[in-house]
Amino acid sequence: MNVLAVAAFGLWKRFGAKEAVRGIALQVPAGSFFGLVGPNGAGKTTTIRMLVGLLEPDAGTATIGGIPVWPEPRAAKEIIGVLPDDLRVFERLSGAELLTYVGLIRGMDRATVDHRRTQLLDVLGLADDAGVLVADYSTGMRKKIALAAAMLHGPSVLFLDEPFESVDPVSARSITEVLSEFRAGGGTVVFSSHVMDTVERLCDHVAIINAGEVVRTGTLAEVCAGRRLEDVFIEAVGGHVNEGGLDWL
Amino acid sequence: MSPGAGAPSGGAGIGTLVRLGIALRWRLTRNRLRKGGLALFVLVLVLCAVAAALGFLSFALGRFLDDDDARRALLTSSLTLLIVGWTFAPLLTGGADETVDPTRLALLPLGRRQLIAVLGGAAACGPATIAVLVALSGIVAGFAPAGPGAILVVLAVAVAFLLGLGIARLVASLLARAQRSRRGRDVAVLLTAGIGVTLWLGSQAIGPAIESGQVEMRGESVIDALEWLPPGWISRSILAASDGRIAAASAWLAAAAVLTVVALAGWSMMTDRLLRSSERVVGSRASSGVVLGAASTPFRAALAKELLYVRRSPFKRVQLILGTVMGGGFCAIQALNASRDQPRILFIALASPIFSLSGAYNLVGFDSGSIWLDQVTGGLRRAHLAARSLSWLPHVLLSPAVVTTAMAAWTGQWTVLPLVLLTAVGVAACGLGVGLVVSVRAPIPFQDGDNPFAWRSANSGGVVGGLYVLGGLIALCLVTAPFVVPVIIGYDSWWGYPVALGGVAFGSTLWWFALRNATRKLDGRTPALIAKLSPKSVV
Repeated sequence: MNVLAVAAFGLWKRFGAKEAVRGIALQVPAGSFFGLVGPNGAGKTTTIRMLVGLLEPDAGTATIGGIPVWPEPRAAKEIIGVLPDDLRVFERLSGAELLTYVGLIRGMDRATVDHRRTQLLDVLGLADDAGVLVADYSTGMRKKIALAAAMLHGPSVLFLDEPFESVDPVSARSITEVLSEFRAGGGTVVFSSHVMDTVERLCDHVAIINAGEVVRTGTLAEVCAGRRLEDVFIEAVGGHVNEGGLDWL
Repeated sequence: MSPGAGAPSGGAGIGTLVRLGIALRWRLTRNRLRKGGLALFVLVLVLCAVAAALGFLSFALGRFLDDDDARRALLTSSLTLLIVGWTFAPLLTGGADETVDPTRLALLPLGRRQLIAVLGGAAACGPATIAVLVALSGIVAGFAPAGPGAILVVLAVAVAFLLGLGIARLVASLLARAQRSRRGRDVAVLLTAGIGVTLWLGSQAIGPAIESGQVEMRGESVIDALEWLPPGWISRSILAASDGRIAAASAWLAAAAVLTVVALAGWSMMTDRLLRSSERVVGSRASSGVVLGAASTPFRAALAKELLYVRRSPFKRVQLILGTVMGGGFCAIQALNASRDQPRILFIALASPIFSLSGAYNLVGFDSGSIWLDQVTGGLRRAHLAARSLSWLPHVLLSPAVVTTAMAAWTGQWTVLPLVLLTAVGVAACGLGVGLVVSVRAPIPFQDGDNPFAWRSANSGGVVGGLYVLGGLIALCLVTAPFVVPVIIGYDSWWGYPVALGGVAFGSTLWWFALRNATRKLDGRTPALIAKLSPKSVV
């Protein structure tokens, strides 16, 4: 029997007249690399925010490692790491200061924080810029420092919202290696992306979300059934390519 | 680090979290200095030191007053002013800092108490808060008696500090919650502006009251009323302790302490709600098709875009609301001190746009992140600058229109209304012209955001820009004087209207030359401007 790292049932979220998420159910096996894909505005970010305790759902339940996220997300936050899409951090702290602050506020002892901070900065290629303010980091560096902050406490599950967006190939490679190492150690990764090739290369499980609902889910092999993920995705979300619409070109 | 290894259980203790909040605040302050905000920081420190010294001396003065009523008036009014100022002053000045923004701690496993510990630690150790604490300690110097009553006074000071902190943060949290919808933002801004104007009007009314000899009678009733407000409970407690009435002092202190706990709990609850709800309410916005669809030239397209921004940009909306309310308040103060029968009173409305002009003095810096679009479409051209400038016309014309009409209704001087409005057009044109000149010489990178109480601009540019704006206002007075003064003098003469019309022509000409000058100044400089105004410099 597969142990579930993340389970969600009937998650529902409405913003005014717009139903962003409509009864989403997800089952993420422990130790898996789970890809959440969908077109823009499909509800991926809203779903992740509800799973990590940042947005209270109107209905439905979510658990992380068997711990209910709602109504009190504190216990679930102890065992997860999150790389959010908006990357709101203290801009006027340096990368090293940010990690130290996050570690101490999580209740870790100073020696452990120092040790892990040094390791993470080295592995993610930020050691030389450890003293630079986060405000002066490039987009890729911001993603990496946010990932380091998410991993510092040794979480069981990592949630990453578009981790490779606006990231150069070198940074993407170092992020991928860190995530692979994390997963090899028994961790679970849930990440959203628009890039089908990346999802196909990294993930063993996938869920396709469209208009706030899960339209396909399972192992990558089950969902793709021998086809390319991109083709399955376009078929699932009903997308089509207009041809000959730009005659002035 | 393997997954799950070393994940702490329970997190840091409350004391540790408070210390971390304090450390965070000072680390951020130090780093801000590294980023070049020294001038602003020194200015803030000097202002805080002066305010702290004045506050301390005001309270300490109580030791030398023999009259009980005077002691009561001094303590109650000063304490109320301090706590109300602490609550609303940062909102009126657009001040906010990231250490008290709970959303930056959203990912951490912090319960309500832990969250408040971190935020409270950070909020309680800023320069302004320390200034408040120093000022409050003057109460001990001025009112603490010998004996056990002194302990109660010290406790009352501590409660006053926590009450101020709790109320200030509760109000800020409520406003942050309101800002998540456009209507909520507008209401919050209107309320804040209204409170500001009310406080301002109140403070301005004291002077005439003293002159008219009514201050004693009015002062008595004002102090009586203030004593029933929460800061007044604390002052009752201090005065009772000072007189040796320990039971009464304890009772009032207990009541204030309960309210303090309620305020802190309310802050905690609102903060928790902020972390569980969406950043903003998703709503449908009006289509741009109507306005932009009618545009057929670069100028019209640029103007249409800028006018859309008047409605959609939080900053421009806030400026429109705040400028009109504050301008109205400013004129009301002047009008209250003038004779109602004097028709010239309506010309006071000409001063009302001063609160709306700040945006018109930073045309290039506003929304600086989008200048690249102007560059790739041919550079920051005259059409763009003209559109940016003219988009502030609603701001600089609305307040005089509203104020003049209100004053005409109040005084019955309707015949002067058209002349004032015509003169206001000339003043507005001059204002926009001066704004163009200032804008290209002292652009300050400024990013619009959803939070109207946390406007983000570069620190170092703020002081220089402020000086330019001040210089601009003085220049505006000088260039408008040649037609405004004659119009006011000859408002009932046959030449009043021709002079006002001449003012409009003069203002338009000035604006046109300013536009040409600004365009020449920027010609070929857009790439440098893009670098200078990079959103990166806005933190």
